[in-house]
Amino acid sequence: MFCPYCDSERSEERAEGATQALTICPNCGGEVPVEEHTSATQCPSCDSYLIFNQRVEGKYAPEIMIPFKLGKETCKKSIREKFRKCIFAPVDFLSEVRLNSMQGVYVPFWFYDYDTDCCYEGEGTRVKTWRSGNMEYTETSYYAIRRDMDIDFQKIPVDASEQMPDDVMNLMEPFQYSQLEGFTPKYISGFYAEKYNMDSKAVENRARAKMDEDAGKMLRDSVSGYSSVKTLRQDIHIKNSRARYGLLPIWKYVYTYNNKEYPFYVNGQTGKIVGTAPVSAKRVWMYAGTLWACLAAILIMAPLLVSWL
Amino acid sequence: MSDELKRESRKQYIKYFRIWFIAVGLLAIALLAAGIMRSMKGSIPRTNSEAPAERVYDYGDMLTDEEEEKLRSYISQKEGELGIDLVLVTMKQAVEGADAKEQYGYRSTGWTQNMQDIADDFWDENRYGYNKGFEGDGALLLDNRYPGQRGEHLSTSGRVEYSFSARDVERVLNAVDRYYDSDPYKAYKAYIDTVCDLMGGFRLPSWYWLAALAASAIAAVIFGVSHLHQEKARDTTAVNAYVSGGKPVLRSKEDQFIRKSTVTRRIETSSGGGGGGRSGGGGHHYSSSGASHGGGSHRH
Repeated sequence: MFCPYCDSERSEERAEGATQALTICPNCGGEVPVEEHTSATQCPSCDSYLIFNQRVEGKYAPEIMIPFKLGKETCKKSIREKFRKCIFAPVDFLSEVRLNSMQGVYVPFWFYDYDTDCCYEGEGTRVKTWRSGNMEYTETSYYAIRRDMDIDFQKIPVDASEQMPDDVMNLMEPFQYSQLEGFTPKYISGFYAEKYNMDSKAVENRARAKMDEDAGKMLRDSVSGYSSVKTLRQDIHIKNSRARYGLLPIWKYVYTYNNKEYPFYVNGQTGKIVGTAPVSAKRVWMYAGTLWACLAAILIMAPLLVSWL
Repeated sequence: MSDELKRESRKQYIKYFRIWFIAVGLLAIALLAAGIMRSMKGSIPRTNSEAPAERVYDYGDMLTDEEEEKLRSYISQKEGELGIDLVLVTMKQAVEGADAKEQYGYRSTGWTQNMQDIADDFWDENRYGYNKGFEGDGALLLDNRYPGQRGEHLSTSGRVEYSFSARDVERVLNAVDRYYDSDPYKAYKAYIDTVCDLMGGFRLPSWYWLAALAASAIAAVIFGVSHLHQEKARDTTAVNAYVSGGKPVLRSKEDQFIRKSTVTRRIETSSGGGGGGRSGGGGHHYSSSGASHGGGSHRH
């Protein structure tokens, strides 16, 4: 099978019933280490990609997905561009060899729909000040504020992978939902993939927190024209809700430096990068020391030159 | 680290600092050239041959012979560099009061006027001035140590007179005052140094070098810290990113007036303060021989 995103030509072999830690590659017969939740992986011996049927079917069948829109080369270029100015990063941090280890992963996500009825009550003040003679007058008017809103939240994403850090997955957002498609197994060929390892109830609190935060902001944003506003009551009532399972594309690059791993994630659709570059103490001293020496030389030589001319 | 990585690291380092290295290199070359030119350059030719060679007149006996010699040598070096005469006169002589006026034939009984006259006349009568014997370039410091009438007067002439503001005269006198009681030799050397500094002999204060090193260190620390700071990523998700249609449906909106309160405050007014004083400026005057002079005095 030809993968249009990574330009590789791989076989899409399906290994039935692979649930152990090791499975046999149907292409070369080599052993393939398989994590508990892996649904697609690559044989380390022959580089064939394997998809585990039972982890993409039945209750694990994703309903929706966004296929990879950015290839590895584009992501490598983005990473280089973003960290180009990180002069304290180790020299091989952006090397071709290291960046080639970047992996495309389909991460399992739950998408939550909430049809809500939101109510806000607060007290607002408007302050007016004027002077008359040697007296200053400050008039404060108080208002009772009330807002009622219907907010229809759709597809609030929350990752369903224990391996992926929640804060990083939140920062990966937003994804462009206009490119959402129904799940097609051929898209995960050529990439790593996981089935969900936390069910929709286990992670729903994160979706609720996002929804509460956004609804609260929208309610408060609807109040304007006051000098100050005090919230008295904010109520978000969910009328209907629904959860859908899907896959989102993420490139992962892990750089190891001084026995510590520095993971970088790139949104496989939008190219947004999350991660911080490692710091080489040697380079910090070298660069800061050189700057100090150059500046000191200029500050010492320049006035001497002026006095000698 | 492999050789290739080392090479790459070196390449990145040189590329990053190339502008700095070029600037430091050019400055070093310019400094070297200026140093060579300076060592080859002779002193400014003297065009006044009427004045005596002596520059230090220690009538007040404030200096040892050795100190006098050191000052003469120092003045000789500085005069050549700047093209100005630098004269020092010390004395112990009454310059104030009717008795002094009668005894020495001063035109005034005032200390300041008489110190000025003595200094100006000494300069004019000896035909000092690096370039000419009348209104030539240079300065003279007159130090009078007569008990109860101690103080110094700076007389300037020619280029020095017109270059010096009242503030510059004060700077010279203040420099002298710093050592006036503790070390006369240092006080007279301070007079020469300060006049030379103000006339273009560029001298940096001794603390400058330490300050330059410290400022560079602070800049290097700021550079390091600013480059160490990194942000994982920004939260770029809009508040309405997951809202159907991009915005909520506002069903009702109420803003109901409840009450009003007013606070009054008396505005305090304060009367304005007066302006500050003004220090007197410098100026020019004519000596008894008709030559123009500038300068000023400090009495102790």
